[in-house]
Formats: sequence, C-alpha cells, structure tokens
Amino acid sequence: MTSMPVESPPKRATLRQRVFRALSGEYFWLYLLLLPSILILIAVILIPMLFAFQMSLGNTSIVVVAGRGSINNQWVGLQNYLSLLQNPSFWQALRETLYFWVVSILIEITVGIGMAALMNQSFFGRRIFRVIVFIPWAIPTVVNAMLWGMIFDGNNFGALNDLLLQWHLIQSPIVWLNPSALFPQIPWLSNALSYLGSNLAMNSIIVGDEWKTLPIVAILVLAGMQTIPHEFYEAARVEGASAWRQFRQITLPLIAPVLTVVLILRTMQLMRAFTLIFTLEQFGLPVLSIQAYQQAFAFGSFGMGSAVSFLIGLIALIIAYFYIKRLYREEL
Amino acid sequence: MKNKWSRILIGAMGASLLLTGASSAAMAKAAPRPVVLKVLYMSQQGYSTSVLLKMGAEFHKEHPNVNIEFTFLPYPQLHSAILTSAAAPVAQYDVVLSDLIWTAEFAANGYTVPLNGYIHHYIKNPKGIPQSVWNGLSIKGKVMAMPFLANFQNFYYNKKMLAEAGFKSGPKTMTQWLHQMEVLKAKHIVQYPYEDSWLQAEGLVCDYVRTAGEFGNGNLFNAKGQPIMNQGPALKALEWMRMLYKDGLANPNSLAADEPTAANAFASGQAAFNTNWTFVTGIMNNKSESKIVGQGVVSAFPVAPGTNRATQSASISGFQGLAIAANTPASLKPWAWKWIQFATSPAVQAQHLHSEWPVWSSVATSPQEKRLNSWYKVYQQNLNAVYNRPAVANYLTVSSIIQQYVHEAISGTIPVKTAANDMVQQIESLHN
Amino acid sequence: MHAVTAQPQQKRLRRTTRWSRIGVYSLVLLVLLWTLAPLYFLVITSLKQYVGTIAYPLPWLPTPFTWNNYAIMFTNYSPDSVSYRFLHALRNSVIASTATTALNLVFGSAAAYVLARARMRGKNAITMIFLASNLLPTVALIIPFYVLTVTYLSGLHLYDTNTLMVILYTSFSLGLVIWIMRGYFESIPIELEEAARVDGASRLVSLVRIILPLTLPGLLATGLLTFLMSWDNFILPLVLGPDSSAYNLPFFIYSLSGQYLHLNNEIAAGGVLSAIPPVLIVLFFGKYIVSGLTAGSVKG
Repeated sequence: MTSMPVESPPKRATLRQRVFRALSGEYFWLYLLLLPSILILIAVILIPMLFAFQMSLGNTSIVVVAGRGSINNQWVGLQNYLSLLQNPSFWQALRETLYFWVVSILIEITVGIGMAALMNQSFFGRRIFRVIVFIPWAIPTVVNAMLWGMIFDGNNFGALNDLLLQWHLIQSPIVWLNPSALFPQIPWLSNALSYLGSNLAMNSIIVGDEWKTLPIVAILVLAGMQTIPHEFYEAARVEGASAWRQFRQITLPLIAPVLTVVLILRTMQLMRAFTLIFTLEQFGLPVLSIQAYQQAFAFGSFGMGSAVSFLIGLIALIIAYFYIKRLYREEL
Repeated sequence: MKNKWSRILIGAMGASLLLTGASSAAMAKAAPRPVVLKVLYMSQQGYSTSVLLKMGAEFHKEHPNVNIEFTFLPYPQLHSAILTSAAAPVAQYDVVLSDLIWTAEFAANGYTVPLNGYIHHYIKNPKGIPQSVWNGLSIKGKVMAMPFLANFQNFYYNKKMLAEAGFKSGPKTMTQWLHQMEVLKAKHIVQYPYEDSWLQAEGLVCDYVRTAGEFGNGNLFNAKGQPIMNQGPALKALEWMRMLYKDGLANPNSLAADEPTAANAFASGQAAFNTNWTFVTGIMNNKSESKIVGQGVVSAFPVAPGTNRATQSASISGFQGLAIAANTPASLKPWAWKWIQFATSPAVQAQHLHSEWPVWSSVATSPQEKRLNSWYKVYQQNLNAVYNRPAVANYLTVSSIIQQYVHEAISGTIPVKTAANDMVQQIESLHN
Repeated sequence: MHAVTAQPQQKRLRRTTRWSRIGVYSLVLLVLLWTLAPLYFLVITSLKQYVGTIAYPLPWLPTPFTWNNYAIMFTNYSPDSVSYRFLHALRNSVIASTATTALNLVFGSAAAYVLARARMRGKNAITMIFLASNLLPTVALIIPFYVLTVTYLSGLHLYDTNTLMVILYTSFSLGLVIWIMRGYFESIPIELEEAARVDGASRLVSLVRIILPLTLPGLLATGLLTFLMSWDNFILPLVLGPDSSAYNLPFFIYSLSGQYLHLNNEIAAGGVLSAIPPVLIVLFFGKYIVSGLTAGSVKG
C-alpha cells in the first residue's frame, strides 16, 4: 500500500488559519471528490435503511383518512422479527435460499474451474470459443428466465420434454418448474431433500441460472489462471508432481484471489435472487427475497417485508464478511 | 408516523435527493391544465387497451375540458399500484380497475369510496346488471366498484376427442365427467384429458372455489366468517383435484400452469377439457392461435348430482369494476364518476365489448350479442351460477395460505385431510 | 533418462496426449452445445408463428416461419400497440443505463481515487461500507424507497420516472464501481503521479492528465459493467416504474407474457432484441470487463 506523505498541520494554528488551510489545500479538493458518493450513500442507502429498520419495528399499513393517503406505522417492537423466527415457512424459505446459494456456488467452483481449465488448454478455435462461451452472461435475466421457462415447459411441447420424449428417455412429460419432491420412491431421502429446500423447480432454476452465470465465473477464473507463470508448472513437472498436485499446490492458491472476488459477487447476487424465481414461479418458490416482496407489495405489510429483508441483508453480510476478511487479511 | 426522528430522516433524505438533481420531474407536472383524470387499467394482449383508448377519446369529445390519462399495468402489478396510489397524500390514479377479490380489503381500509350514492342517483335500472355481479363487487351493502366486465369461467371441451371416445356430448355431472376422462385416457386419445391452472397463484384459488361449487357450495367461509375448507364440498373438491392428478387424468403440468398455459394446452390439442375464463372461446377458434379450430365447445359445468339445482352449473366469478380512489381530490370525484358511468353504460358497452361479456343483461341478450356470440345461452347460465372467492379484508394473505395448502394437497406432499385442517388452522390463527 | 525405457514411455505419452486431445475436443463440443442450444432455441422461437411454439413434436426449425414477431416491435405505432411499449421500454433502458453509467463513472472514480491515494484513517472501512451497500438485497432498499417515494416525498413526483430509476441504479452499483476503480488506481505507481507534481501540476491536474488516461481500461470496464447491470434491472421498474414513462426492456418482456396467451414467439423476439446490445458489448469489450472484475482482486 502506497500513499502520499503529508506533513501534519501545526498544532497551534488558529481556527481561521485552519479553516483557510482546509479550504485552500489540495486535501479539500480531494475530499470534495469523495463527497458526492458519500452523499449518495447517505441519501439513497443509509437513510432508507434506517427508515426500513424503523418500519420493521412496526405494524405498517396504508390508510386513507379524510381523503388523504398515508402510511400508518404502529410501533410493535421486535414482534415482526419474533413472529418470523417462530414461523416454519420462514425457516423453509431460509433453507431454500441457502440451498440455492450453496448448490450454485458448488457448481460454479467445480464446473467453473473445469471450464476455465478447458479454455486454458490449447486447441483449434480457442479464441472464438472463449467469445462464444461468454455470450449467455450477456443475456438479460428476464430473457433468460423466459427462455428457460420455454425450455422447462411442462407440456410435451416444452423444449426439454420434447427432446426427452423423442429420444424415448421419458414416457410422459416432466413438470420441471413444479416444486415437487425429488425421489418420491425413497421417502426418507425425499423428505430430507425437501427439508433442505431441494425440489425439482429449485434445481431446474439453478440450471437456468448457471447457464447465465457459469461463463463469467469460468472466464474470471481463466483470467486468474493466465497470470500464473508457466515456469511454475514446468518446475513442478520436473519434480514429478501429478496434474492433481499441480492443480492443488499451484493453480488453486494462485487463483484464490480471483475466486474470492467471484464468490463475493455471486453471493450477493444469489442471496437477493429474485428476477428468475419471480418470473418463473411467482410466489410458488418463496425464497427470502420473494417473501419480502410478497409481504410488502402483495400484502401491503411493509413492516414485515422490511423485517424479512433485514434478515436477508444480515445473512448476506455475515457470509460476505468472511470472504472479505480473507480478501483483506493483510490490511484489516 | 409522527416522531421527530423520522421527520429529520426524511428531511435530510429529501434535501440530499434534491442535491443529487431530482427536481426535473417535479417541474414537468406543475403547469396548469384542464381537468385531467388519471385512470388505472389492466393491460392485456389484444383488445382491451385499444378499446379503452377509444372510449377515452369519445368521452373527451363529449366533455372537451376533460382529458383521460390511462395507465395500463399487467394484472399482477395492479394491486400494488392501487396500494401505491392510496399511500400518497393525493391519489396517483383517480379511477382504478378493481378486481372483486379486493372489494373487502378496499372497503375495510378505505382505499376506494362506496358508490351507493352515485348509483342511487344516476343509474336508472340497477337490476339490468345481474345480482351475482353486484354481489361480487359489494360488501355489507356498500357497492365498492361499478361493474365493468363480467368475467367468469366456462367449461370447454374438445368434441372431436369426445366423439372419438364415443361420447356425443359433454358431461353433465361430475361422475360423467370422471367417466369420460377415464375413457379418453384408456383409449389413448389423449394422454392427459384435462389441464387446469394450478400454479401456486390466484388462479388456483379460483379453480378450487369453482370445484367446491361443482360439489354444491363454493363458499370457503361460513356465514359466521369461519373457514370451512376441511368439510363438505370444499373438502370433496380437494379430494377430487388430488385424485385427478394422482390418476393422471389432469396433466401434471397443471401444477405449474397459469390460465394462459392451460389454455395453450387446450388450444394445441393436448387436453380434451379445460375450465377457464371466457377468453378461451376466442382463442380456440382462431387459426393463428389454435390447432383445434371448430372442435371446441363451450358448456355449462358438470355438477355433483342433486346440487346447484337452480343453475345446473357452477362457475367462478372474476368480475371487474371501476372504483374511485378515496384520496382523489373532491373536485375530481364528480368527473371520476362521470367517466365510470360513461364507460359502464349499456350503450358504450354494446359498442365496444365484443370479445368480453358485458355486465348489462340488456346488452348480453341483444340481437347483436347473439350474433357475435353463439354461446350466449351457456354464458348466461354460467354467469348466473358463479361462486365468489371469500370476501375477507385480508384476502391476499388468506389466498396465499389456500394456494400453498391446495397445491401441496394436490401434489401429495401432505394428505388431503391434513392439508385442509392445516389450512383452516392457519387462517383462523390470522384472525386471532 | 536411459534409452531403454525412453521408447515405451514416449509411446505412452503420445497415446495419452492423443486421448487427452480427444477428451479436450469432446468437452469443447459439449460446452458449445450447452451454450448454443438454448440460444438457438430462442432465435428459432422468435421466428415462428405461434402455432409452431405449441406443436408436438416441436419443430426444431423456425416453422411456420414469420418475421412478424420482430415487425410488430417497430410498426403500427399507436398507444395500444406492442411497438409503443417496446419503443418506450427501449428509450427508457437507453436513457437510464447511459445516465447511470455516466454518474457512476464520475462519482465512483472520483471517490475511488481518494480512497486509493489519500492517507486517511478508515478508508478501508469506507470502501467496505460502500461494497457492503451493494451486498444488501435490492428488496431491502426498495421497500423503504417505495414508501418514501409514494408518501413523504410524493411531492417530488418521482414515481414512474427515469430520474428515480437513475438515482437508484446509481446508488446500487456505486459500491462496486468504487471497489473496482480503487483497485485500478492502486495498481498505478505513485511515482508517476509524483513526477507530474514535481513538474508543478496540481493534484487535480495530475489526476486528469496522467492518471485518467492510464485508468481508461478500468473506466471502460466499470462503465460497461454498470451499463450491463442497469440494463438488466427488473425489480426496480416492477415496483417503482411500471408505466411507459419508466419501465425498461426486462419489464416489457415480462409484461408480454400477459393475462391471456403466453405468446412465446413474441416474447422470444423481444428477448432477442433486448439481448443484442449487451451481447455486442460482451463480444467486443468482453476482455475489458474481465480485467475490470479481476482488478479488484489484484492488489497494487
């Protein structure tokens, strides 16, 4: 870390001198550069958050009194939070959210690194291949949702069902987007998976989501791999290290910073995932962000909605804290 | 909210917003204008937007000082937009399209005003609109919205498939219907004879209430306001839906289907039966949207023997009315009513509502309508046989509970009886 | 290595390389199939008549063929037409995304510069607060903002305006921009700047003349990233701008699957059109975006 050497201001300066120095010195302009962002942060993030926190402690409802609309906020303390924590459907939503996050991240680490390693090989058409692989990431999320909605359509004219039926892999169409239990023949497994938030619709949605996000993960990891000097591998090969050991001891540690960044970005996306699930399932797969939206904008209870969203934020921040701590280990 | 702290927060927020340059939008709306009436309506594929815009233009011709400004939103956004408007000191939308399921909520929270006074003064013949329609849009004698469209469900079947299976006509009773489905499936005429919209959404509640109605009573709450899903017709309906799914008579896709998806299946020839809103009538005979042109039949619903004697059918209402927002400025309210009266008048309806069923019996039975809609007799029969979804102030919360348990009962994650009991218990706990 | 053992080993090596070649190419084909099949399906669906989307077996070529799904996005413009909604959505998307990008670059890179260079206590903490503000679920911010916009601040008439969308998009991506740009500034040697200052340039001048050109790739990357993020936004127009004065392309596509039929062919056509700008960006500037996103992890 480098920074400008600055002489500390003399301690005996009068107030006038100090103000003058602050205004004329270059540091004033420097802080002025920071000011708009700080203002935006305060106005559009911090104040609304405080306001939301206040609402989450209340029973909020919209009322029209004497021809004027307003929001009535009746203080109830922690009641919203308590009733959430006592509600089994909140815990189910939490498990579904965590399942969505864990499985997606696992796929991204394994398949993503695999794809990156593949792109790092030399083969005919590699350059164009890297470009093509990147395309799905550019597709807007709603378009992606609609596209996978058509692919996973539960009628026999759904794209996936059509293929599987034509190839005689299934006898009747599968309703991919129905949150039905997996492995219904094995009750204990089926129940356990349902408890953990895994169902058919959830897994289908993960597939659709990964189609869009795997490319960016793979390409960022690839960028990390390309910074690794070739000599490292040559040295390892001379020592007779297996491919797996090379990967474990050279590749993985050196792509770790990139991977951390990717995981931070993805965690924040997955925790607040809304668009894909809402457009495909409406309220049928109530992960936390869907619950918050439903409470606030379908039921009109903004207090409860705020409480749910605070809990999501809290979980996201806790997870992110561990990533970031790792990332900034040397500085914090 | 009245404490100092929050006022400081909001003041600071407003000030910083202005600093970041947010005032341009505010200025655009300041110039004085003649009367502008803001109207919120639902956006649909096809006709309704253009019909409304034409009505607006005609109204402007009659009242040159009044401009109608329309906002069209998809149905799922409509309710939250009305809430948005109600939360503002002055309404964003002066006239809103109100679905009948919101009637109780809007009345209880005062989002829209009762129209009894206007109707009493200005509507000469309220009996020209069927009582079932008035009932859907009123609560405790207060009419919360002026009926605009009489949407309801019809029973659709594919006569070609039925003929192949050896049936000359559609089912009259639930037993016949079950038998027809079983034969259709056994003869491999169609893999899944029936598709319905059982996605965990409002459409599922409609189908549930209607099916309960087919078994004799579509009211999910008794006269005392207690939920009764765990007994009588409502329970039978749940068992019926579960059975159709389990025996492969209803397409499993029903559980992920909304109304358009179910209509798709029927129009593509993947289902012999569909129970859906009136829009299917138009679709099934439209070459660009249907593969079963000329095969679809609109019919009354089959009912359990001995029930629904008066109507010989059981449908579900999806009425839409026009309502005046409570926070509309007093000076605008008379104009809001003028527009409502204009848009709902028999003359305007006769002129514009070709693909939807008008609320006025005089229009519905006019020679013109008979010519346009060869199914008008069935339509009338089904309209008179509608059941309404529960009229409770927290309907959307209740509905989400019903959706969840009905969906789980059909897919079999919870036994039907348990689901029904849990549903009742959860709804009761809301009121305590 | 002894000559005796060398020959079989080389043979084995050749054989394994041949097998690994085959393995690589089949994996490449697999990934291509996985990537392109859905895209192909989207494009052919957009060129079908409606009946071609509900037929079984499903036609895997655009049959029955039509250009009409694209044509309706541009022709017969009237307040009740699809083209009206599409073109409004397109306009709003372009305005909001461009304005957001500009604001983010100006404010974000200015703040990032300070946070990279100034000797200031707690600047890491400030950076983290900015980044953390981006970790918050959008829903969490949208609820209070909605309530404020429609009630206490309703006098500002922000509901359903592009202004509101820009304010919110900007604040929702600012943290990421600051974080990435800070990485860029830190990767520029301080000596360059000092050299300029020795020549008498003030800090501001050196920032504009020396540092900005060096961070141009970074600005490009963050700019494009911000653009893509705001182009993709759905929940904001859903809650705060569902009318033609503010809704964007994603909302338009969502609203295409309206009350009646799901016209998959029209949805697909709208989807293809709204995907074109971001796809072009990724095709031509993909490597800048990648370097931007990795810059945050490369410490100077």
